[in-house]
Amino acid sequence: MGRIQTRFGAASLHQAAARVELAGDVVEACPTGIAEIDELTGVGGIPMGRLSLCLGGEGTGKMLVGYRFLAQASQLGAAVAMLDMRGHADPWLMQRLGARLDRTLVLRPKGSTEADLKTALESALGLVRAGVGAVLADLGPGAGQSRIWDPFASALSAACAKAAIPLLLVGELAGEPLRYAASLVLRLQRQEWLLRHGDIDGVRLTVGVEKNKLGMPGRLAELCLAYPHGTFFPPPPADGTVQADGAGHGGEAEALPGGSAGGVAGGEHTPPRLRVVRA
Amino acid sequence: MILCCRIPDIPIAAAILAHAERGQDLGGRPMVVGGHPSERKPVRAASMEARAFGVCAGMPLRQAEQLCPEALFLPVDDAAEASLARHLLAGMYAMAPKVELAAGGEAYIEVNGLGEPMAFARRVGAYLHKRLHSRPALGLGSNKFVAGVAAGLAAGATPVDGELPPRLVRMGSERSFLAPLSVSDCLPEMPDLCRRLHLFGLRRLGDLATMPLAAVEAQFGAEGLQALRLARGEDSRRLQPWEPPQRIEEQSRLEPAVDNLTPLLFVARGLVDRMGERLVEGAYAVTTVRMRLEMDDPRDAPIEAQIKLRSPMSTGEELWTPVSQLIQRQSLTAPISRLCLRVSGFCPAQSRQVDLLTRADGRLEDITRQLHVIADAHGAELVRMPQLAPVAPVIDGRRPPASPIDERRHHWTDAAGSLAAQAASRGRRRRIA
Repeated sequence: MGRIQTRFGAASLHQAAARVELAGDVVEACPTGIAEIDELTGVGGIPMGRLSLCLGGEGTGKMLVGYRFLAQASQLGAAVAMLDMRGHADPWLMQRLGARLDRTLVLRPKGSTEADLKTALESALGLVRAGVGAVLADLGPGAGQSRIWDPFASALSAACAKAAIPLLLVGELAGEPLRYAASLVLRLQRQEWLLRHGDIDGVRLTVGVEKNKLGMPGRLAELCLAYPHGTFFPPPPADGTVQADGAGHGGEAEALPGGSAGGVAGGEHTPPRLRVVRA
Repeated sequence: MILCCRIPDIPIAAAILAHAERGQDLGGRPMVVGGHPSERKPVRAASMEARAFGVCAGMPLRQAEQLCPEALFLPVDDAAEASLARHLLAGMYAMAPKVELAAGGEAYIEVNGLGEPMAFARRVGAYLHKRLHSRPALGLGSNKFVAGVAAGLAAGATPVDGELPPRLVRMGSERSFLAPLSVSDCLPEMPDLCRRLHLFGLRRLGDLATMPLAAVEAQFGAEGLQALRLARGEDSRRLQPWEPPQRIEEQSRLEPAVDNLTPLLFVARGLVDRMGERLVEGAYAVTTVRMRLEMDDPRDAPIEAQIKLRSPMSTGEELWTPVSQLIQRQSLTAPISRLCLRVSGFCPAQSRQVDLLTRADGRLEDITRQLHVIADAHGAELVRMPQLAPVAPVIDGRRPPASPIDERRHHWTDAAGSLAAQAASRGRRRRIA
């Protein structure tokens, strides 16, 4: 050991315990506002200075997770940026989830051609270098097959590492370069819709950690995410307070279909509850 | 390429800002800076309103009172003027690396490598207009003389949309640009030479420029030779770039010597506050703090400690946290007789980095600048800021009845403008605090 450290430096060889302590001191994270996911990541949220992926099919609640992360980051006093590749950004939902819209910059490319996407990605890089506090990117359809993200995966993660800000990419699929560059990959899978008065009120989902460089991969959790109520429900309280958890109505929740044991994250009466299925 | 900014009336602007800090609004009143009319002193500067009555810099104060009796006569405040000049320099230094503030309210900026010169000149003009509430005259030329003359011409131009357009003299066209201009207007610092040139019938710079070098040197000497080179558009004077100070140091002698941390922290707080005032005055931020504790017994070695700040700090309140931590980390083994604090690693306060986990102000200025760059390159539509618009739009002069959908309405606003407004309001709050 002495010979190795003399030849390659003191940092070349560590005892595993010392390494874990070192990592625990250094890594900071921006919470997502969903306790179950924060606990799953092992560092308390989306890690700073690293690229994280949140993948899942349609209707699995990945944008809810993304918006909550954006809301938490914007409340921490920084300007935040969202790369909206699909043009589906919903400011109303962002605000209901607690985001400060006066600190939220949304990059909206004019089209979906390769040139438009490149422009948006270059602009996002510029904003990261200028000092935005967090970046959320909606990958859009076809990101898994498109090679457009390949050159930007390393550039974006390097810029975020230098600025020590969290970067969360949300999409259905991600290509190999993105998965390689990511420190954290979360996989969301919908179990069932939650209904209230016959309308979809939320989603019960399973969150799995496919890759985690900072904690233990392979963990699973089941949770329920409630949608903030909009046009089809009574309006929020008249005092105008915006609830960070997005629940703004006073109706009683119906029994969850299928007898789910998971808590409704964001519900008023049933606080979120983590059920780790396998660790 | 050199940009010359003729900054109008720094003494007047300093007086207005000083009174505004005391809650007095002097906007619109004729003002004369120089002293009381009974004093035998010249006018240092006159506001636009006073100049309309014929008051100008250099005339006796008594004459200024006769011309404009309702003018407000203010004393010269050298400290306020120097502070304002430092602020302006720091602001321009944040935009360009080479900046010089010359006498007579002229600033020179080297604009090579800073993008399109006219666009940069407009940015500088907007900054000075925002800071001073008066329009600067801007001239661009290949050297200081040409840029200065161009700025002088721009000052007399007609404002377009409330702004004086910058005057650009392209490379290679200096001689033709200068040729029709009057010698006495362009060389005011050489009055004797101008008078002699007039006697010889040389009234335009173009007349002088065609004269043989040896003949001018023989007739007018070195001064004439210099004037001839200037008339030909050749100016060898280099920019004397201003640089921010390398460090700020405050120290205090402790009598009697102290041997515990409580009085040391008390004294340190005062030093940090003084340093903070100097930082705010110069619009600087610092990245390094050094502390030196000298022992009462000179045989004991002094304690020295240094801390590198994670993000640049620009006020006493911000500096106090790391300084107090630095002091509390020390274990005193002997009485301390002197405390010395020094900050270094200067950078403009505008380029401070954001710290996500603190509620301190971040990099809004940098982000705003980047947004302008993106807007210039790809259009303002690329990056937008959402804003909820809960009121339904008016259609055919009528507003439809309120519906639950209204609360979901939103529109996209100009992100750079919104962030710039936030940064400005935060700056105002900070100044008030």
